[in-house]
Amino acid sequence: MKNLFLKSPTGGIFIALVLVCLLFGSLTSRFFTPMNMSVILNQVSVNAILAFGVTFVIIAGGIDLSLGSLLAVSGVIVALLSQEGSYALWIGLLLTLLAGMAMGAFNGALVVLTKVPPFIVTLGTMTIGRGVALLLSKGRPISDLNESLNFLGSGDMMGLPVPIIFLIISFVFCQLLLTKTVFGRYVKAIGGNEMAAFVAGVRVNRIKLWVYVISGLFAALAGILLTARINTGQPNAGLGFELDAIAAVIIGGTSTRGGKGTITGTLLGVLFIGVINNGLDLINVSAYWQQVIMGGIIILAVVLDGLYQKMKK
Amino acid sequence: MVLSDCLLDIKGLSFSYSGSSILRSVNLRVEKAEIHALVGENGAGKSSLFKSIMGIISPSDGEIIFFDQGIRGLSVREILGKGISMIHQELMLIPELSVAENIYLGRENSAGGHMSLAAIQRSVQALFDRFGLDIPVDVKVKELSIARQQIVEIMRSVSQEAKLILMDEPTSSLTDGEIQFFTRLIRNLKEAGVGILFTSHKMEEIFEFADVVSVLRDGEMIGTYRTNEIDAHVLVEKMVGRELKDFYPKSDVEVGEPILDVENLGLAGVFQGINFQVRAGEVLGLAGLVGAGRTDIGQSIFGIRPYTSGEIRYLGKRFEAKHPSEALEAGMAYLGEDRKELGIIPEMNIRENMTLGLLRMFQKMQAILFQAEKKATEDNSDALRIRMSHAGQKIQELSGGNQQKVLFGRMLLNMPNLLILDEPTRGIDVVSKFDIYSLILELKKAGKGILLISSDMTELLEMSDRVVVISKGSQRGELNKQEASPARVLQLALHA
Amino acid sequence: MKIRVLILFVACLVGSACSEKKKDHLVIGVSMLSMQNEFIQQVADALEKSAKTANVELIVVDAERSSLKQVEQVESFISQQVDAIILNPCEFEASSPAVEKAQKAGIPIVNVNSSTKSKPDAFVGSDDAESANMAMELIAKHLNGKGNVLMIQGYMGQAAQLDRERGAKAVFAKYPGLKLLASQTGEWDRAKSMSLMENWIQSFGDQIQAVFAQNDEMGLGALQALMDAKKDAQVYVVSVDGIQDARKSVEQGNLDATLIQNAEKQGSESLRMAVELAQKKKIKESNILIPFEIFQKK
Repeated sequence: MKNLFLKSPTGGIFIALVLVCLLFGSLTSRFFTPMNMSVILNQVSVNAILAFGVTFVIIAGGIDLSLGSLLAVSGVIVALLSQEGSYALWIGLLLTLLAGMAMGAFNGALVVLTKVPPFIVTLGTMTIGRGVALLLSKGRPISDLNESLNFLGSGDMMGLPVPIIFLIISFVFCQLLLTKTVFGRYVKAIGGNEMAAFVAGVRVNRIKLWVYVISGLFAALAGILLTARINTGQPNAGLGFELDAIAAVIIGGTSTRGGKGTITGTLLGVLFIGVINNGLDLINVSAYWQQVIMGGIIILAVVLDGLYQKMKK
Repeated sequence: MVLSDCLLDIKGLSFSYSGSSILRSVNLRVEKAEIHALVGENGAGKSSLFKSIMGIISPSDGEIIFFDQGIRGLSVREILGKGISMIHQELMLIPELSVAENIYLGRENSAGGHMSLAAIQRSVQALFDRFGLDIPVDVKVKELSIARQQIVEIMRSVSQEAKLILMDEPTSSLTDGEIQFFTRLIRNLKEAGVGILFTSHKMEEIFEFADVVSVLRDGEMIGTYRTNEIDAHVLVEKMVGRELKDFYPKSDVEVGEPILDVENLGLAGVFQGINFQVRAGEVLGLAGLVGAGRTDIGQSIFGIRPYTSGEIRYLGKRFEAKHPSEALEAGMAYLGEDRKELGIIPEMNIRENMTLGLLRMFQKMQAILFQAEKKATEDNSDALRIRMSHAGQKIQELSGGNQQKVLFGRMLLNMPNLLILDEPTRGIDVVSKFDIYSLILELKKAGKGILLISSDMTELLEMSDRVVVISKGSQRGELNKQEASPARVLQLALHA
Repeated sequence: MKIRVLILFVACLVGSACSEKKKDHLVIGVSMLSMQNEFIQQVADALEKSAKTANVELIVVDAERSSLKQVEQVESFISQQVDAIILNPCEFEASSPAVEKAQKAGIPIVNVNSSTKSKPDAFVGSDDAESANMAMELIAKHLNGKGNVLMIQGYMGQAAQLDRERGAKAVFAKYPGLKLLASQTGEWDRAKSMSLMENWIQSFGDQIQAVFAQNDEMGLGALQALMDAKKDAQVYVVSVDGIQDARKSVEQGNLDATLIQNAEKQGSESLRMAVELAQKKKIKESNILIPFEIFQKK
């Protein structure tokens, strides 16, 4: 068991996470309470779901910068469809998820058909998406939402807050998809060596399209969750979220060059950032210092992970 | 104490790692002024032997005696100090420093205080003159060719008064012209009394300048032979441990119906008017100069680069693959000419690489059937004698030959009817080459058809039943076994 | 030949001069801080409405929170020779060049809602310090001068944040029994403030008695966190701006109070000023402060 842990690619970030938890635990007694743990998981749920989805894209060798905008559009759509007294909740949820997949498919189609680098394509759809969110919402936040939508954001189910349940389900789904299915294997192959995968018979374009659809799907789910949490459909939501999500994925050990990565690593990366955010607030560090410290710790984590990988060899 | 001519005497050396024995009671002697080659397939234990001598790893048993002194257990520094040094495949020079500075790197403060740049240069120049080298001592190393850089690295050892120099595949990065340069230096070193122990896969150079050759196989020392008393054929037999009737195995195989029938095939701007057949049980070779379009023909048939004119009939029926997966499903297999680019997925392990294109064989709905996959790949690996620590090993850790075997394993998973092989033995060790030739023969006997593309003229002519010559995208002729000679092939290939 | 060219040239000059005078309505350029902010949108809407009644052509552009962009937009207005400019500044210092350039070009410029270091020809807005003052007074009254308060700030360094902080600090000085437990930025954002509040609830728990949020979005975010933790009944929450969502929340009995910044009045008054200045009329009062109104549940 010990061997398995030490050899795993996520050993380094796991150690970093534990260290950071111990640090904050020692600085304030409020850190290690069950309530606070629940708060942390709640807070990272949106980012985590976003990050799980984009992990596939990054492993396949691409990138998706439009996450924040897709999140906002989805949040607006679900808000519009969940107005008090209009459609049933599940209709709103279903249509929003489908919309997310459609937007992801748009990204994927552009990447596959135009050969323009994904960075540029999703930079463009990021802007388009933001505009669509503003158009649909006429620039103002949408309130008067269905009670049941709010339940998704603040309610409890089986003793756990609903967002955490979403988090767990998303984690399990993505983990299984990446490690146990043919699709997951193909994603890793394409990221590892696209040409070789093609020659070996993998339908590269098809798989590439699908990873962007997955990214869009999870961005929509994250959008639904955020809207449920703050009880408003906000066109400005999610600004910069793609950077947080991608940072979590990279910290978690997925390589930007593709071919390598785990969902577990992404989860650890998300938790790492979430713990730091929560801890710094708990000990009341000023906002400016928070930025500096966050950046510093992230660099430290990546460097330590690099050393750890080297030591393993 | 008897003053022997023996430089290095290794007795009963053993070494294990993670439970497997890498070296088993190895005996080896290197004499003064001897050029000693060490051969063996990858994984035979050559690098472990070198590392033991250099003190990098500690053997579990045995003696290493250098100039009548036991050196086993000494640190690397001490061993370097005794006069043994090692040249690695990757050169360890500082590109921005001059030749002279590199040679004296770390030793600027020798007996007598700090040496000035001028003094260092003078010293190095004298050394170079002694060995008849015309490399300027004051230029930056990065401005030298690879061959000359290698010489500089060797001279570094010489200037440190090395008596024994270990070299790991010293000519692997050198061109034919540069190898001559190297050979001259080696001979000069020999004359100066230096002993050289080097590993190589190239038969020609072993017999060119080595005095003796030792064969290591599966961690055991099989024997040491004088190069003028043995020939390549026997040497390879000793390396492989089996009798080779022929390095290129042949046997009479009955040829059957055409599996592939290519008619007037063309790809705009690349090749046109290609006509040939590949029948069951035969190998059709495509000969030609580099860039003639042979790779493109192979890729067109397989669906990597769809053709624009002509027709392909496969198993009697019209066939066109628009995507490699279609060709795969029909029962074709393809091996690309550069396994790094077109073959392996570096981060994935052996098993994953082997099953990549045919995962559908181990798939139930979307899920992967891991047990079935494991069994199939294990059987395959055993059959192909792939040397690995375990199937979960990353493929990039394997030697070139073993990587190629994994790719062969991939092709054979569903027993294709037609195999398109593009440079199948490029960059692999001689024993693995033989394994692949044997495999091709087995496939012929099983009634498969093989399209062979190779720049190795001997290999192509020996392995093919018929040869089609391509020049600048056009077909220049078809030759049967008797007609196909290097001269005739070249004549057609050079046709303007 | 030369005479003909000269006549043609003069004719063009006269013609262009005439065509200028042909314009029968005023053109006013408007640069807004950010059209993604609901309050600013309301101001812009009010401007449009007033402009229509006054038969004024309005060119409205969004500076997207960038002072640099704003300066460029004003430069563009200047070259278009607008009759007046209404500026909703992004930043106190960095948007000042826009004011200076307009004045240098002789085009009257009116600041609305926020101020700049360089003084414009007129200013219409509300005193941000006043709003914070009023909000904190409400809190002080509710707590009888003694209690624990949390403050959620806007983007640090922005004029509104600085002024509102100033106004709040004055009240803290006035009532020594009021204790500021903590003060952090919520970046004017609802989700951020919600996370912040969640973390504060972990830190301070039942010690929290009141929250002052410098704008409604942040107040509503904090409120949501309190509601999730079932602590909203025991905590008095006040925020500033008076956006629709906030007013609704007050009516539903959740948010305790909001200070309405009269966007309607800010818009209509600044347009009126701009028109008067463009018509070269003499104006009585160049600094118009529109008072905040407390909005509470009756």
